[in-house]
Amino acid sequence: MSESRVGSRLHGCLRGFPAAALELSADGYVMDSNGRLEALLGQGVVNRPFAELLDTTSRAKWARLLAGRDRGDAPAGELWEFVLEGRSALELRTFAAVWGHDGNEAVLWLIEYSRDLRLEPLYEELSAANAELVQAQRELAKERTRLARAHALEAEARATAERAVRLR
Amino acid sequence: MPDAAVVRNSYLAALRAGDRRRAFAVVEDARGQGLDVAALYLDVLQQSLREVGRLWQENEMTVAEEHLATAITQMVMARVHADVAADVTQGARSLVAACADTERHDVGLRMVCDLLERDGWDVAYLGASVPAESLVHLVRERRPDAVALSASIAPHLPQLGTMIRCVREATGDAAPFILVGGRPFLDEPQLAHRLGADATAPDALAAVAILRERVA
Repeated sequence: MSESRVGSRLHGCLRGFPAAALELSADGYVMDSNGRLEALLGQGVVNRPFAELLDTTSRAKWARLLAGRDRGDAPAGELWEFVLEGRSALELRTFAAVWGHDGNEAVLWLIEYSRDLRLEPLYEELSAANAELVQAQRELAKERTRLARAHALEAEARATAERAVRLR
Repeated sequence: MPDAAVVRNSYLAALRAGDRRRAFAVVEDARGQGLDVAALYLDVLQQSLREVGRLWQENEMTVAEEHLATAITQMVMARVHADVAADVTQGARSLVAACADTERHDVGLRMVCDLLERDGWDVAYLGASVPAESLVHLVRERRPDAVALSASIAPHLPQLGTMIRCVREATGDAAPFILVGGRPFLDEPQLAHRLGADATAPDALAAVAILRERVA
């Protein structure tokens, strides 16, 4: 990679982009960043392998993205989800991966897919509501089974009582 | 008896399509043909969710789709729960189950609990993302014979270790048998002892067998 241009490669519009924008070498080193990822992770990212920023569960996936260029089956702007190691928590982020060239060098741009933060509380609520519904369904199934057994016992007791009366 | 692999393929197709009604129909049909609940859980549901995880690694499914697949599977398990729950007999062994704090993947632990209930255990299920204090509070209250804890990824293991330590500190000589499970323990079973647990199990059936054998 062209070391002299590390940190000064991104176009102005990507510098101002509201989510993370990175330029990487073909083997996965971050050559430039618009600063958003650094702010999220609380650490520098330029001049480091992107794999170092990822949770272990995402590293094999990252290797697959890089290998896609060699296989020639990397569709333009394909979306990739990665789990990054944040300051105190894991951060799931989606990036559009765009392969291109800068002169003779192959480069990869990772452009973070902007999230609508208004949707996140909704997802949390939906998830919680689903969990409550599932739990209610379980309790209902349990009670239904208990009720059926109670009815069966009652019917048996009634039949026994009737037999006793007839025997008298 | 239906072929579990065939059922699994149909179920996975329903999950990939996000089609809960088709998923319910596949399971109902399989159960009607005699598929046992344990086989349903381990050979169909669990294997399908593992495949969903692999498809995420292959970039063929998103996290949102994975969450939907998990939600559908939880609904399926709730629907078959009536077949699973047995009457808890007096003197039954008891267990408290919880996922590590910040751990949201609870399907595996739920399977363990359902199969234990079928085995006659009295199970208190705390669910996903359980703070250590909440677990200790319930353990002090119920004095269970065993505790089952789950973590699906390595970053959640410190929280699991804290839960184990807190339970042992709170119960002293009367500590319950502590069983742990989750992906990190499949890769490295000796992690269980390093964290202070008594044992680990690779799946729900093995968990039931271990608890049956090791808990008086």
